[in-house]
Amino acid sequence: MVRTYLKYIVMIIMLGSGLGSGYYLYEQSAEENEVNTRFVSTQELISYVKILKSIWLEGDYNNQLLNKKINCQKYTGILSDKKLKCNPKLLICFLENHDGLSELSYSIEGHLAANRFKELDKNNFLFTIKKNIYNLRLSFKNSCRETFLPKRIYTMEDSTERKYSWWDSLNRSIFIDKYLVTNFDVYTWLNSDQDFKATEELLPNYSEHSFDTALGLRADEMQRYCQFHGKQLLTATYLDSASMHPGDYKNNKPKYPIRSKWPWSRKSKVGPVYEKRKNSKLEIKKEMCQQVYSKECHEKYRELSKELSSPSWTGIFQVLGSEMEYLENHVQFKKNLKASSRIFLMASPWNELGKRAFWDGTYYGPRSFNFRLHDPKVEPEQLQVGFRCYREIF
Amino acid sequence: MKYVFPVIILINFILFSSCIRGISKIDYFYQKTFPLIISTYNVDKSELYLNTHSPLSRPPSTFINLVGLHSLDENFKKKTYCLFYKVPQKSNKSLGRLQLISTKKSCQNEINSKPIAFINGIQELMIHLNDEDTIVERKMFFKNTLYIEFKKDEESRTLVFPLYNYSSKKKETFKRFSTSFNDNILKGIKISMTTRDLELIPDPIKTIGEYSDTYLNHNLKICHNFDKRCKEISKYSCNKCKFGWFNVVGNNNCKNTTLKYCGRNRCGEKGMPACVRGHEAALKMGLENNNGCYEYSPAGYCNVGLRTSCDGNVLICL
Repeated sequence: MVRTYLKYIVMIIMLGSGLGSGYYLYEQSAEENEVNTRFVSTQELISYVKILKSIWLEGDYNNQLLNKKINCQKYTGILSDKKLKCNPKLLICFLENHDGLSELSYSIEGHLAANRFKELDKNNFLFTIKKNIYNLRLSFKNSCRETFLPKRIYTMEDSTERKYSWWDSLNRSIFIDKYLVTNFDVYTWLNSDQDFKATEELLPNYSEHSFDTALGLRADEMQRYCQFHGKQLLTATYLDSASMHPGDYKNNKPKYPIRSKWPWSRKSKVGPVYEKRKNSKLEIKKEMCQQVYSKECHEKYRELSKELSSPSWTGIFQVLGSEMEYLENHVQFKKNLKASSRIFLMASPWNELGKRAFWDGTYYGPRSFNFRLHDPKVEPEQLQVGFRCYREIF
Repeated sequence: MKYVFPVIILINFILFSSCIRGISKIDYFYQKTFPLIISTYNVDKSELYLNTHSPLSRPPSTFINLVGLHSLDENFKKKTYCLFYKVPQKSNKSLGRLQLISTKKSCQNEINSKPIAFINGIQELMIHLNDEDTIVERKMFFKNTLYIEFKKDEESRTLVFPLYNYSSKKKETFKRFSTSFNDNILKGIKISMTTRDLELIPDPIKTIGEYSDTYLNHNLKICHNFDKRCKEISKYSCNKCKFGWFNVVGNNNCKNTTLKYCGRNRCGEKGMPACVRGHEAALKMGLENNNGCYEYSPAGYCNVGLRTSCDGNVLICL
């Protein structure tokens, strides 16, 4: 009798322990499967990020645009290689059209959202790529649009009778925008700066599909744009330092003052402006327009990118010609406008570094500008001004 | 009735065999911890244990904290993981144990917490994390990547964790044409894993300063400050300025460190701080001593018609 009961008890214990162990191991196995799926999805997503990184930092990934395998014109317009770098619109174009990426679903979180990675750096493009149930959130830093102002002693204009004075960036890390701010930049800013009052009034003037220089903002709006990005409006002193040829790059403590007239050389008797002044019949060629995008260039070679003209020794563009540029001038406040632009002829006296006119920053009529002796004599609507920003990193 | 026992044994066998682990403990550890660790943006390192190139052997039978890994969790909140290693005794090789623990505070107090994953029975452990790509004994160690090397059952294994958000260089050295991205693996691109259904609720950053703040209205916020002896009296927080920041010339003897304010740089205007000229340039212009805050000081420059003057702690333009 006791033996029979014992038999049943042993059977029940064995069956129970078997089921219990089985359930435990089943749970373990399910967890292992989940861990494995997550791991595989993570690795797969990372492999996509490596492609996206190449597109972001190099632009035309695997020459897809050059070989016409992808057409991104409806996203970016026609752009040169340099402006394809760090371009969110190009990234979206590749995500939608590139064979290796089009299977990937994605969502954009914002161009200027700041606090995803505990940084108040509003120069990021944020979006998410998705695979299975897993998401990889990505923040792409817009590192292509700024360049470093080398640490050295620079010559600057002076506010006294002295012809020049000195300043140095030896203990500072200053980054300057390479290009003037674009329509796309202003469009994304207006959509992001929630405290800014004039968004509705300004937004129709700027397209998210245009990477041309943004024109038409007032000085206080330009200031707001820069400060929203944690930057400052570029100063005349810093523009001069970043554009005037220093002569010897390696000597960062020059003994003698250098304020070159041109970005391409410290010598004054070289370059297209000098040549044109010397010989008024000289024909303006494309190469000259790449150095100074002047009025003649605007009429003759419209296909040229004025945004990528006139590079300087530090890697900033548009330092002569192209568009007029508003600057903060902390030394001579009545010289706040880089007048050299497509409204002046190649031989114009304005086509020299450090020569500046005045704009009151409030209105785009002729009375707001003071070109002194060298008035452009253009229609009022041609008086348009661009801008760029700088920031310091500690 | 006589078939009942064999049937039960068979059921148990089927249950066990169908649920047997598909992957090894090492692979499970790696797969579980990989998605958590790769979002690491900062590392608490101990030079005693990192890049030793010889197995860790002291102190035996004791848990040591190899590294603290500051990562981002699924909701972009800071999350710290601690990698612990129990150093094996020479006489008993099975004692070595590697484990990853999550903490809300510091790694020091977390040794007894439940690990996220662990591996037992390991020995000859070494970890590597380098600032630059490094070759040691014909092995390549990529920068900003955590390598965990060990032996288990006499087999050598290396677990590789690229730390995608981590930049080892605390202070970048910029040169001509340098860009401003951090020196992380993906060159300025940062990542964080999450599951699709999780709503993103980031912590708002406490920003400093308002657009309308000005020096004249005495409402500009200081974001970095030093005392007369150049000792830092308020830590650098200018990365939290809502509308940018700028340097001014302070009333101290600091050559390389300047007082910083959040907001618009209106230097050079009347009543505003003077623009910083820089120490070397100021010396060229006749700076009398390291403290540049005095009347007519060349440590700063002003707009036309104005001169510099010391306004208590700041060189201003009058």
